Amino acid sequence: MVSKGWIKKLLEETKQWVSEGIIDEAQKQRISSRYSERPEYSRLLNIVVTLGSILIGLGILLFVASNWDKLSRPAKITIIFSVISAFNFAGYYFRQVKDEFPGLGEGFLLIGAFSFGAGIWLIAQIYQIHYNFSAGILFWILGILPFVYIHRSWTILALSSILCYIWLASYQEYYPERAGYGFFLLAAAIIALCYQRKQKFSLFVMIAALSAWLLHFWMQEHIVKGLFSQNNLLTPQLFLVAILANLGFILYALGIGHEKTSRFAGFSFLYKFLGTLFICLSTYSVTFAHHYHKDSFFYIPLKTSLLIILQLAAALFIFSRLLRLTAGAAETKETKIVIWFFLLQLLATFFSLLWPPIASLSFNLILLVQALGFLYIGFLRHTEGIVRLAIFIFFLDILSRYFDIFWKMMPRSLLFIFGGAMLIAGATFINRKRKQIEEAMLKR
Amino acid sequence: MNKKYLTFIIILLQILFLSSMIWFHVAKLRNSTRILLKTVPYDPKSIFRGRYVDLRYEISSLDAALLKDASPGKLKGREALFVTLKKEAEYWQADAIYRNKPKDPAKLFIRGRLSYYNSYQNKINLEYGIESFFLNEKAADEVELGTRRRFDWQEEDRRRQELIGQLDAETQRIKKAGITKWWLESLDKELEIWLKEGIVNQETKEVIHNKYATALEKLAAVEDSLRPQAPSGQKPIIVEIAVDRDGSGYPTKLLFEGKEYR
Repeated sequence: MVSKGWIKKLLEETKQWVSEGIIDEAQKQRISSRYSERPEYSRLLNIVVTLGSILIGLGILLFVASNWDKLSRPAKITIIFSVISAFNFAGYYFRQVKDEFPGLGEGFLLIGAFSFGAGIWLIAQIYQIHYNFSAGILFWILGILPFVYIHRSWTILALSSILCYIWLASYQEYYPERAGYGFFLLAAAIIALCYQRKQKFSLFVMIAALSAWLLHFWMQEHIVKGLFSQNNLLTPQLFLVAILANLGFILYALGIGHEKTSRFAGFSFLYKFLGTLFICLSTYSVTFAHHYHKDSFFYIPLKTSLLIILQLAAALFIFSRLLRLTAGAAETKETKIVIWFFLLQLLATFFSLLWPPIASLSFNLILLVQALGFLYIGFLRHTEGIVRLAIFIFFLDILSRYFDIFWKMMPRSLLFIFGGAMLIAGATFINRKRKQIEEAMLKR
Repeated sequence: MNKKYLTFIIILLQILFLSSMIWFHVAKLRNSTRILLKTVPYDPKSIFRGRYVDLRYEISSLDAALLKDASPGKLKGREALFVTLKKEAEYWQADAIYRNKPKDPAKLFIRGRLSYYNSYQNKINLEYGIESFFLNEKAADEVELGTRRRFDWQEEDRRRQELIGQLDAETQRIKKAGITKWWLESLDKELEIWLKEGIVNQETKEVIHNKYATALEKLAAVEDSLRPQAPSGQKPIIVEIAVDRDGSGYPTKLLFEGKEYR
């Protein structure tokens, strides 16, 4: 099965082939007629089929629910098993045998996946089995994940990634004392399937889940042990910023690396965008002067430090590989700029830990450099998304500093009037600049 | 391998997994001891599991003095605790709480997790994983109606006011001012700062703290005296629990007003 996007590109390419004399008009028409009807048809069919599948699934659940009292235990179990088997087989049939209805197959597979999840909770209900919520979610994921591999089902992959996030959150809530290293095994399996299926949405969810894991890991050592307090905000925050910024640098480096591969170049933007977001937002969080308190004290959290060392080693390894691999001048420049950002962030964190009063100033300067640097990179590499994000970060920084500085100096009414005026004028100016940059990028 | 067979194998594995859930559960119940525990009911809805009765047992909140091998202040969030049980008439009551698994095979124990430790009331609150009992719509309505009919909130509030009226004037004032233990926790933090900055000395700090702590303890005791009593003649819900050798509990039967729900 080919995607709508693929067909759109193909139809564009066929025009080129005709102009180059590779094929004639008649051949082009034959190719076009083979595909031109499919995108619209398959899109409409997919929507109708997905809605229909959901309605069937809901109907079955309502029927079972309304007759639940009258059904014996064996009857209930038989219904659950039959529903799971029927939908999964129907999914297989329409996905693999009658492959002209892939949307229908996808819909049935999704209901099959939901049926299995419902089966876990219904059996728990029938037999009064009480296990914690996270265990049920984990079994659900493990039960449906093989279908992603076998049928290349994108809906089950999306469901699994969301369930993985829910599992992690419920696991951390149930076992706050545990780090939950098992997450990495599950995440590795789901990420591998994201690559097999080339699905960006699930990869995005998994990166978000990874950041949630890192946050929990940090919380275990800092909040649970009481190191994070009103009088000691900055030092724990710097450790969190180091963890998340390092994640950002690793993601950005992976983004550059993915451009070098022909198969997974499509993931490059997602990695770069999330990398930029993690780097800039973690820097931004330390730009506020009031996070520093004179009673702040320095300490070395063992677990967090080990994690940071591991991250640094990973980032250095990837950067060194990239420097050897990158060929074009723009690519090399981009890599070098990001490495400079990385070293700058490292130095700022280190010196801010030793001498906290400099934290706000140094991170403000770094954020400014990062916003302008990423703007330049976006322009250099023709990446509109990075340009827009860099503009947003720059604007956010300006606005935050305005409120930060003038909050106590100006009457509130004037502060908000000027702030609002600045917001409108700034947005208009930046929008014009963005258009100019994007036009310049198109001309290059 | 052919995708058809792989699909078949995965569906088979899914069904096998669900069957094993049932099989393991039934096998565990077969080798366990059945005990009867008294409860107090709630009635929410679970998004995944439909109708169920949310239960609190008498053994859900225990006197911290029952903790034998540790001090309650040293307990960590959600750590596993073991409660040994003794039979009194028909029902089972808590005998002692242990941090380590009891080794005496003659003693029946149930495994729980620390929910929180209430230092004011000196109570250890536990969860055993048996806090809900699934019922069909009809049965849930019967239990809900049965408990509602007899539960008189007005009567409970009247008793609360009566008990508070017997307390000293300062405690009554603190109650009226809406001061809670969370308010006191914040005050304690501030007191530490005041002490460091020389605003108060150690003695003044303790006087201020004790003033509220004592009042809150008295108010907590009032709430405590209201809670365990079954409201105006209501028969408590009794749950039969199967306890296996590891101390895991599984609810098997719910008994209410002479009826048995499974």
